[in-house]
Amino acid sequence: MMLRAMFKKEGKMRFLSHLDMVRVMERAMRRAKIGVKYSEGFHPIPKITFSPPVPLGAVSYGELMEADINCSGAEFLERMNRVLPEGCRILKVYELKEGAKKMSKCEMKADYEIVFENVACEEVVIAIERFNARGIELDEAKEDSAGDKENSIRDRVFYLDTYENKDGKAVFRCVLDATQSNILSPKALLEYFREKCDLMADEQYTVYKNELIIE
Amino acid sequence: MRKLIEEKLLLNVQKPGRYIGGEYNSVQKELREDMLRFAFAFPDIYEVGMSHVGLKILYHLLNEQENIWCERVFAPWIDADAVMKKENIPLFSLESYTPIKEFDVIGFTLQYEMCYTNVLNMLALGGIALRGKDRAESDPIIIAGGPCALSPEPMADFIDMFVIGEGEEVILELTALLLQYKKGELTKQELFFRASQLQGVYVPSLYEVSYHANGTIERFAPKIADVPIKVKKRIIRDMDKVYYPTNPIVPYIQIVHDRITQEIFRGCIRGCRFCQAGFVYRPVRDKSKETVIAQIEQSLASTGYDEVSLVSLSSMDYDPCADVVEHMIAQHEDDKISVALPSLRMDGFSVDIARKIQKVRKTGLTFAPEAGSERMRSVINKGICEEDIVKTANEVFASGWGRMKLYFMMGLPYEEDEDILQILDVAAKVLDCYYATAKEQRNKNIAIALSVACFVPKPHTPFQWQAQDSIAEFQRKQRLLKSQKTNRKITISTHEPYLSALEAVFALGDRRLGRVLEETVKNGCIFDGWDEVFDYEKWVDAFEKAGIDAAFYANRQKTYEEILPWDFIDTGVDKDFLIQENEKAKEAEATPNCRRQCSGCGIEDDESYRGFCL
Repeated sequence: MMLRAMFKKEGKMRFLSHLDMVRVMERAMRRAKIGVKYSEGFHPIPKITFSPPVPLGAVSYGELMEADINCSGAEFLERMNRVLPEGCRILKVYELKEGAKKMSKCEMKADYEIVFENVACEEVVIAIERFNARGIELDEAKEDSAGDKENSIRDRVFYLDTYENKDGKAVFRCVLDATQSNILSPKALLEYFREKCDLMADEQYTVYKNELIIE
Repeated sequence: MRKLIEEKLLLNVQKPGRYIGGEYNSVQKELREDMLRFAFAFPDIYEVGMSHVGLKILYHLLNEQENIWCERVFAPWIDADAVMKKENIPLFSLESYTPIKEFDVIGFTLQYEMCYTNVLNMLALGGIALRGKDRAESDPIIIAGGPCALSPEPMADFIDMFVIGEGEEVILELTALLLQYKKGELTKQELFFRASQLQGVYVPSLYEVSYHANGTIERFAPKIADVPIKVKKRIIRDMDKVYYPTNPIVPYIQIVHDRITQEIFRGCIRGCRFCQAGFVYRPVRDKSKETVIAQIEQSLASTGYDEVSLVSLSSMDYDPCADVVEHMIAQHEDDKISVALPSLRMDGFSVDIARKIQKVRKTGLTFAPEAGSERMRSVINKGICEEDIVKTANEVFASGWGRMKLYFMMGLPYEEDEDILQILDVAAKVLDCYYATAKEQRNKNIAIALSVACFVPKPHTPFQWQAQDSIAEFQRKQRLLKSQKTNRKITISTHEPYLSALEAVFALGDRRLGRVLEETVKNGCIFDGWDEVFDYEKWVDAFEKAGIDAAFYANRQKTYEEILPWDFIDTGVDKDFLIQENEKAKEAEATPNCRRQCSGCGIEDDESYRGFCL
């Protein structure tokens, strides 16, 4: 049965690379004695697809995997969560019907929080204002190729907000396109904000991918 | 500490996965006052240390004890080392992020001589005084084991106690004493004395050494009464009863040997004269097939690994090897579990088994003829002849493999240039075997890779009296070999002779070398086993500052009469036997393997090991 599972990666797990996570899942599935389809050919590997990598150091509650397995979704969730290392848990499972859209074809949005170490909330407020003002500017301006390029980034931004968290750190919340062919990463968004909205942000920040919305 | 590590270290290094801990099957305990805190320290990076079977065994064995918590510590790679020094982060354990200075005991494993600088760096990074005599009662006790503990003297100033031989039993006897010490029931001196009474424990501070004017040892003796003159190694009698972990830690990041390591036997029947392991781990002790299979099955279930490696000093000498492989193939066809056999011998049986376990991927096979000429293989007692090599090569190519890697050594005792050039003859003969194989049978691609190491004389072997070739001589021999190679299908890689030279010094050295090691740490030597970090100039400088001549240890022919720095360690093999083997080497005379005929090495005559040998 084709199964799509959403899992989280927090705590120590955030220091693991995408490939490390793939191994964590493969080994957990073996421990849980969940059978999975293998690829054909000389070196068969389990056929499991994962959503694109989040940056090293990011916490995520919206990672996806898909595999053709030999048990029900509920069983998968229960058995995997018994053998997964701390910081990694299956959150939700979806049993996919025959002919259902693959993860790579689904339209998705990701809800991020970027928590800054050295940026104040006020600075982010001003930067978001600039972002909005620039949108009006771009609409009014005659479209040229540079504007197109900029719009291609802006079109993938669905929501922006900022607030202080309980530690008094500035949080930059953003909902960005996460459709696989059209992903906008928080890093790319920050790059845009530095360039076009004068946000003076350094590399001292932590990304939280709080939710992945599949449409 | 946790915050410091996460914020300052983990995101500023290449591979944070090396320093996070928390892996599946790693052990967390609730800390109690009466608990012995044991840091198992591996003086190399995580990926190397985690591949080591000794760590797996002792970590889980110690953690099985209710009143011990064993945690792991590895040498931070140079990027992390720099960050930790800059941010004042002391070396910490992976399980609880505790600075190593807070542990009761730190146990290093000494797998190779070139890790000694890492041991000292780790102590320094932990804020612990290097020399034992400079450490207070509140400091951790520093112990060490592993193969290099069998010639421990270069590290004698830094290590409080060495464990000699196999650790499973003696480590628990030692930790019992350490618990008493922690409770204040023993002083440090009492602890040392009591430990010296255990078979397999060497306490260097209880011995003194004097030297002749020519630099050789005049006298090596205990300072106080009742401390044994000779330290006997410990070995395990029954391999089916000894503890073996079937819940090994499953690392997050890829390690060097990322698979289940299943030990199948200890010791080796072969007696190759250059090989330390072949003498010091005598006699051969098998695990039964039933134990091996049961342990593999449990390990697979508890880890989710998809590969098992059968390890020993020479896995093809394990009689039930084929049965274990058959079992794995029969039971695990569907879940794609594969078997690895790291030590193949050049005989038909090897190829047959290799064919079975490598059904699909025909990547390449590695063999170790060790020497090029028939005469040299007799000198080293390798026990394979040209006919074996040709026969093996024929089967390898007929089975469809196209890449073959062959290990050799140069600088072996009684070697002539002709012997070195014959390495190329072996390669040519192997290549002929390929061309003689029918085109439809053989692989389309052919490559013969020769790896030629520099010989390092090792303690407790028949070659322990031998002088190592000088660096210049190694370089000459390497040039000679490479200049005579004409075929493009054959490639040659050689070892760095500077490293091999230092390896010999520290393998064969005495306690005076502690001064050199101290200087190397001042010079910033670290990860010297890694070519990209190793800096020979720093070592030359350290020897100069310490006023010590490296050639005295490495390049001097020793006499049978002199006291060697490791003579006080008794492996159960008679010195007379080693002399006899060295004399036979001179005549290129072979000694049959233990199964064919007992060579009377002395282990059976020793009451401590009587009946161990089957």
